[in-house]
Amino acid sequence: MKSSALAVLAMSALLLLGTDLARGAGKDADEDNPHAKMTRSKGVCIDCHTRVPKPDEHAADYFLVDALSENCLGCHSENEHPGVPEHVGKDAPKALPADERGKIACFTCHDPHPQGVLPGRTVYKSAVTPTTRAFVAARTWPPSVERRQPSEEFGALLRAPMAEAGCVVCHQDVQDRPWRERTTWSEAIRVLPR
Amino acid sequence: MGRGRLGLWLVIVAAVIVPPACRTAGHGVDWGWRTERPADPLRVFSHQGHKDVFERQQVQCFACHTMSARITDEKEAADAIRVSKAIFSGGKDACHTCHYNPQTGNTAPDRCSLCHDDVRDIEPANHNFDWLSRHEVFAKNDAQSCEGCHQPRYCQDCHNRRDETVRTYHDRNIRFTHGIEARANPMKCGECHTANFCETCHREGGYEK
Repeated sequence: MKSSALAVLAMSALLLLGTDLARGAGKDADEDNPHAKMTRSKGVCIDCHTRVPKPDEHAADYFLVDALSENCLGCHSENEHPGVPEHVGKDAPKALPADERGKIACFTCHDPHPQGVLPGRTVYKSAVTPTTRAFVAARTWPPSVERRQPSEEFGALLRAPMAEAGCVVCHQDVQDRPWRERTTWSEAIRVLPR
Repeated sequence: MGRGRLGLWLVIVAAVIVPPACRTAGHGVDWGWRTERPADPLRVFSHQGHKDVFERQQVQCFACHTMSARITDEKEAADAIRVSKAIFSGGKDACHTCHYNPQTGNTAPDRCSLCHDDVRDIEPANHNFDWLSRHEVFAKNDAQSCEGCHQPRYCQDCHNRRDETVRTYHDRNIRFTHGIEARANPMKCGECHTANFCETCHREGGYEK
């Protein structure tokens, strides 16, 4: 009788320990992400900054551990984000932050701090319409491309609202006219009178 | 007096120079400047031309210029640039999602010639000489391959329809005008007909008489 009670207790202890370990593993995975951790702990600042910036304390390089253009590359690869080759290294617009050479970097479009971490700053989630979502789902891509959904909690950490402004912050001039109107003189053909 | 004469000369010069120099954007012009459609389908695309429909359908920039993806195995920058271009630059696959989508159906005009200046550039290699008489074998063998480009009504227009007022290829008066067309561009006839197709009528003692 005693031995069976001990066995039940031992099993329960093992089960509890297992559940705790599993929960711990999930937490570890979440805690590896400094963006997620930022909302819960202040110590995470020194993952990217040399010291914890105080309110109203500004530095040209924000006390970053690395150059502005390189700081995100410790964790993120610039080869994995479609659109990066088309943007990075081009002149940044005045309305958005630039790297040490005035060029577009990751943080030109993304704010590494989720909403609520820095007082007074708004960080936007991606706001994709159902039609756009369906359109993207219908597209065929190379096999090496994985479809990705932004985090439900933080979104894509955007500096500008995607739906209203988004690309138009920089690309106001994409309203290109139909080809008949935009053909240059050198491309036009002279038609002689009949 | 001198100023008036100068003004008159300016008006005359303008009347001579300006009309031919004016670019005539539309069709049906007799002379002036004509714009040729770009051979590259992507250069035919116009954001302004799509603005209304995109706004109405709530299609955002990110539909064609997608960034919500991850390139998994491109470790080299050159490979990453190539794959990024395929996803982000809104090329062929983005246009075809609405304009040519055999899986889900087209939601936008589906004429290939809408963007492709010369449809023969995108035709399969077997659509060449005497294709009209040879297409049956290919169609029976692999109907799915046909449906990759053609809708079922394309077959039905010739094989099922009996209303003679509908013509899919030749005009109704082709019998009287085909001599001109055949001499102007015999290769065009050869896309569907063999040489002996002409001979069946134009043999000695036939229509030549």
